Amino acid sequence: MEEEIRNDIKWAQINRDVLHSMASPRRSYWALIGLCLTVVAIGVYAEIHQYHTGMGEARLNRPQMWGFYIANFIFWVGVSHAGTLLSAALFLTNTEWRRPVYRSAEAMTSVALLTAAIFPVIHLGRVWDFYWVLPYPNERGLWPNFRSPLLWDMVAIFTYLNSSMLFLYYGMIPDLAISRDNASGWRRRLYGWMALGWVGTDRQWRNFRKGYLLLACFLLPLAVSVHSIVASDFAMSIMPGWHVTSLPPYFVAGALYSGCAAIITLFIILRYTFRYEEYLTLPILDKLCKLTFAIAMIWVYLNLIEFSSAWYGHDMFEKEVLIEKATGPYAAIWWTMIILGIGLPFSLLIKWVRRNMRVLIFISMLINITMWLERWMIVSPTLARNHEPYSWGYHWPGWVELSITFASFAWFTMLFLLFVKIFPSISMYEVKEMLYHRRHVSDRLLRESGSDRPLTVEK
Amino acid sequence: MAKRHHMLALFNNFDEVREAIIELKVMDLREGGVEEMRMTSPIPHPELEEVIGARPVLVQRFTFTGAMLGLICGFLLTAGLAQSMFSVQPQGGKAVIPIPADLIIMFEMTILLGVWFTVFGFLFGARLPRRRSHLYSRRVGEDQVGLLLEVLDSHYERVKNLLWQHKALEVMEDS
Repeated sequence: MEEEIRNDIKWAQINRDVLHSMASPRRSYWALIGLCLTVVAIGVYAEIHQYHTGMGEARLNRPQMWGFYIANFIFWVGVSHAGTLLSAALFLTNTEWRRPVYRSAEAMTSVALLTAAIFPVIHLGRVWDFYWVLPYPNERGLWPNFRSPLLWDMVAIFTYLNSSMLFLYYGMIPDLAISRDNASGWRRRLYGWMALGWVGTDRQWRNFRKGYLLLACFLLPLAVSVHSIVASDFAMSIMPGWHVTSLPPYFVAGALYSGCAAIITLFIILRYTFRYEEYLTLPILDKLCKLTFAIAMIWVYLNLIEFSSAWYGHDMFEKEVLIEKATGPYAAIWWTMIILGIGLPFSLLIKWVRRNMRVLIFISMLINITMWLERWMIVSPTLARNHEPYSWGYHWPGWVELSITFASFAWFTMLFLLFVKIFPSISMYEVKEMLYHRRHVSDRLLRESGSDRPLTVEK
Repeated sequence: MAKRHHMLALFNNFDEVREAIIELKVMDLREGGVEEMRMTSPIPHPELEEVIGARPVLVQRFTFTGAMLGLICGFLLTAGLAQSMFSVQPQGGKAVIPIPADLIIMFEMTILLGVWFTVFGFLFGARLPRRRSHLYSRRVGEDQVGLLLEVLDSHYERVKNLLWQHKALEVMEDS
């Protein structure tokens, strides 16, 4: 099995490898960007069509007013969850293997949030009236209702997007300075402007470290709060299937589960596209898989809690929705989600799977499709079987919703591809720091053991 | 006013820099001459920062101020708007200022301003943004450690010799 990052790798080599990944892209890269742009263009066309003809074109009608758009919103907020949360949590617990992975995970967070933020706007229908939700005194007789989870949501997402992007940028400053020193043309100007004149003095590092620690402390509770608040959009209502106390932790666990799977997918893609075998090593992937399994088990447990409280709670509406999910028109989708969601993580326990990239990328993508279905199965079955039988009705997507959904995946991929081509996708200084400390420890051990072997001073 | 020299010495590793710093410190304690000493490095090195003489970091004060400001702003936003809309907003017997609901907005605002103020605190503490000095080498971002010095003219030659003695790879000067 491939080992951890080599101790004797030269620091200058780390710079070269990462900066090389940002050099002129291959033809396949542009082909992928082109494909993404095409799918996004189809989505934009579908959205324009929806403006002209109304929301009915997306098959959104009473009682199914949320449909795919809100399912997509929850899914993308969920994907965004793992990046920042894992980065901050693993930083605070001083987990060394986080260092080569966290940059791309944080980028994934920001990009997923930029994707998620589009959906409430599309869902409004009258997108031009979006500013009505902003809390400022006005003469329209409208005012923000601070008791509404929808407003909490807007504030939480805004805070999360702001904080995640700042966290991503902040952690990148030393690497932007390295990029500035090695770039030319527009890149040099961009990195020079963004690096703010960083030169790595002891004063700068001292303040940087403290600031990073404080940001991580903020990000951790923020990430948990954001998805809890998204869950409150549902849990604060009196709809059967949503009005459950365990919904916020269930959302958080589901978000982490899908986010971890997305990190595995991007990890493998980056490793192959940029030949990062030296840094994104198999032992790190192995740990990521184990983490995904552990989080998946929390999700499974919370699912069981939800089902058992619906079953034994003797609320007939609640029970009706659960039976409807398992036996109604959505049964095939619901059972697929349950079987794959519970079964797939167990495959991660097999060593062979954790080391087989092709199988692993397939499994991680399948987990994300499963988690997307889970989001849809949160939204639609409850609306289909609400308290009022006269308004029961099912939702099946039309071409407009499908196009916009696929476009969101293309948009996410395109933004991520652009990010990793413009900015360093592996933190150069953190990898160096990790190697330095590792060598320091091994040198001390050698010294203590009285070995004659020369001390490692490679840089 | 005595003439000063600004120098940047590049070293291959932290151990050599440590030795040089200690000797420069001893020299400075005895007879002065080194006006300022800073290290530039590709990675942070808290132990060496201690040897140089750690200056206090004030970022957490900014963070605390930002967080408190966020908490207050969150309350004023929610309570203030509820009050201003009181005449048109039917409350239906509910509290005009619903504290439990407002706590969520206050929490988010605490974090939002706390994060922004942390970044401002870092920029303030690190004296950023700033134009790069001429005394800079891109190799510091790669694998070398730099020692930035401001020395009096009277000690210039001695300091320079001392740096070479400690295996400095290069000594750059700002004319």
